[in-house]
Amino acid sequence: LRNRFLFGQFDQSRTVPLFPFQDLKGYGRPRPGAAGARVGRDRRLSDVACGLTLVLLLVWRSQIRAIREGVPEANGAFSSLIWGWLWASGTSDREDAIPPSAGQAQARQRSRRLAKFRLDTPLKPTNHVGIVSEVTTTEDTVSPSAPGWKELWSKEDWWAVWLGLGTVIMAYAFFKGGSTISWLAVAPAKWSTLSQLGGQLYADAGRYVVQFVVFLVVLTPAAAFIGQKPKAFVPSFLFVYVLSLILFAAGNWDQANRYNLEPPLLGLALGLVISNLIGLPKWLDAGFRVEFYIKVGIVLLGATLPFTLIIWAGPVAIIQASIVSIVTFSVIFFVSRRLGLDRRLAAVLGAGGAVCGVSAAIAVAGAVRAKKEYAPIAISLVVLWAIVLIFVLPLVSRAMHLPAGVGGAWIGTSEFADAAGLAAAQTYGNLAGPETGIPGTPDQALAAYTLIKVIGRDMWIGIWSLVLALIAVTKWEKQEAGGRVQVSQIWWRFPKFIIGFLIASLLTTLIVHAYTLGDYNKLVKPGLIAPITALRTWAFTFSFLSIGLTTRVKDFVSAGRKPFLAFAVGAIVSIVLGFILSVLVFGPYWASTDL
Amino acid sequence: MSQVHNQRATPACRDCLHFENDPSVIEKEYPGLTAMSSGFASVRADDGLCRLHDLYLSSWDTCSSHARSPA
Repeated sequence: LRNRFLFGQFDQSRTVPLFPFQDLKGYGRPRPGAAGARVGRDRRLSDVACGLTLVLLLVWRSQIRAIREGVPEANGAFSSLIWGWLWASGTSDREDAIPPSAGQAQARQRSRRLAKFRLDTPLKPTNHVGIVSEVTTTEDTVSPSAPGWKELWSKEDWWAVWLGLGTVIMAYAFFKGGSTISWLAVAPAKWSTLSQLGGQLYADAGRYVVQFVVFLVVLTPAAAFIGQKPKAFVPSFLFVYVLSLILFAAGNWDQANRYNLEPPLLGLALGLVISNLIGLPKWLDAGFRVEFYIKVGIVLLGATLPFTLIIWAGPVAIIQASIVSIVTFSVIFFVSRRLGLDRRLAAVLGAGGAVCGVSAAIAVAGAVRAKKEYAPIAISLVVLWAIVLIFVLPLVSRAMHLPAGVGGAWIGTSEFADAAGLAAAQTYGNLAGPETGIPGTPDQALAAYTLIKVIGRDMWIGIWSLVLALIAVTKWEKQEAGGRVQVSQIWWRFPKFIIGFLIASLLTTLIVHAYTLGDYNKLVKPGLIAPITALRTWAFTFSFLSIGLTTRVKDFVSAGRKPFLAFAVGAIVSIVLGFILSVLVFGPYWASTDL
Repeated sequence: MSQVHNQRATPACRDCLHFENDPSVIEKEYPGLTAMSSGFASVRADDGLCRLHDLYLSSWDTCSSHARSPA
C-alpha cells in the first residue's frame, strides 16, 4: 500500500530489510521498471517523512481529546518531544503558551462553571453495591487530583523512555564526537575454555566495575521514583548484575547451543530455583523489576530497528495480532460464561490471554470494576502459561526448523507477557545458524516478535479497556455494579514505553540514512549500533533473571478448575491460530530477511 | 441505561478514604503482579482497590459511599 501511495503502483518484489539496517544498499535500489520512482537517499527520506507524518497525525488525533480533558502530559510533554519544543519552550504554563481553540475555550469555561456546581451536587442514584453508573463525555475534565505531570516520573514506562532515549542520545553524542560508548557497553565474548573466560573477565574487570557503577547511578534514582528504597535497590541490583554476568558468560560458551544454555532460559530457571527452593528476603525484590528492565530494553531495541520497517510491517503485525487477540478473547470469554463464571472475571481472563498478559488483565480489571480476587486468578494463569510457553514455543519451533523470523512472529502472537515473549524470542533467535540449520538471525526473531507484540498487541490495551468498560457500564451494570467510563483512558493506559521505542527507531533511522552502506558497516554499526545492542541485551538479561526471581509459586492463588479450563482453551486456540497465521499465512513474509 | 453527564458532578474514587491505589500496596496485595507486570506500569493508570466494596476499579469511578479523604 505504501508503494502504491508513494509510487503509484504496487510492487510485490519491493523489499525492506527485516533486521537492523542489514541491506541499506538494497533498500535504496531502484525497482526494475519503476520509472520515476524515488531512489537511494531520496527514497529513504521519503519513507521516513511518510512515517513521521503518520505518527504526527496519530499523535495529533489522540492529543486533541486529551488536551480538552486537561491531561497535562498531552498539553506539553509528548508534543514537545515530537514537535521539537515548537510551542512549549520557555513556558511553564501550557494554557498560556498555546492559544486555545474555540472548542478548548468552551470546554474550559464549562469546567469553570461546573467547578462551583460540583461542591453542592447530590450523588447519583446507585445500584445495590452503591457504585454510580455513568459515561463521561469527551468534554468532561479530570478532577483536580488527577495524576497529571506526576506520571512523568512516577510511572516506569516514562522512566524507560527517559533512560532508553538518554542512552541513545548519549551514544550518538559520543559517536558524533569521534568516540563511542563501546568501552562502557562491555559484555563477555565467545569462549571455549574456562581459562579463556577467566582471562577476558580479568582483562575487562575495570570496565565491568565502571559499567556496574554507571548502571547503578542511572537506575537507582529511577527505582527511587517508582517506589523502591535505594538502600534496598543497590544490593539487590548488585545481586542481579553478578548473576546476569554469569548468565551472559554462560550464553557465550561455544558449546552453549549444544546444551541449550540460552541465557533467557538459564536465567529463568536459575531465578525460579533461587526464589522457590532457596528463598530470598523480600526486601531484595527492590531490584527485581521485570517490566522496568524489559521496557528499557525495548526502547533500546527500537534504536536498532529501521523506522521504515515499523511503518511498513506494522500493519501486517496489527492485522495478525488483532485476529488472534479477538478470537482468543472471544473464546475465553464465552467458555468462561458457559462454565458459569462471572462476566467480569471472564473479561479479565480474556484480556490476560488475548492482549498483553498480566498488564492487560490488571488494566481490564480496573476498567470493568472487577472483584478484588479476580485479578490474582488471571495473574496466576497468565504467569503459569507464559512460563510454560517460554520453553515450549522455542522447542516446537526448533523441532520444525522454523525460520527465526517466523518463530519470532509466532511467539509474538501466542505468548502472553512482554518479558516472557522476549525470553522465548531471544532464545529461539540465538538458535539460528548453520549448526542448528535454523535459517535467519537472532535479530530477525526479536524484530518480528516486537512488531507483533508491541505494535500489534500492547498498543491497543487502552482501546480494549475502553470497549470493555463501555460494555460493563451499558450492559452489565443493570444486574451488577456499574461505574464511569472515561474516554481518556486510551491515553492513560497507553504503554508509554512504545513512544520511546518509536522515537528511538526514528532517531537512529535519521542518523543512519546519512551514511553509505560501507560507512554504516565500518563506522556506525561498531560505534553506535553495537554498543546499544549490548546494553539492550544487558537490560533483557536483568529482566529474564527477574522473572524467575519474582515468580514464587506460593504467592499464586489457586485459580480454580473453571478459570483454568477456560484459559487453557483460549491459550490452545491462541497457539494454534498463531501458528496458522505466522507460519502458513504470513510465513514467507516473516521468514524473508528482506521482507 | 447509564447516565451521560459531567464527571465533575460527583467526587471520584481517587479522592475517597476507602480507595487505595498506591502501586507498592497494589504489588503487595497482588504478589504475582511483579513477575510479568508492575504496579507502576502505565496500563494500570491510577486504578486501585476499594476497601469498602472489595473491588478493583478506576480512580475516576464513584459511589454513594464516597468519603472524602482528609489528604
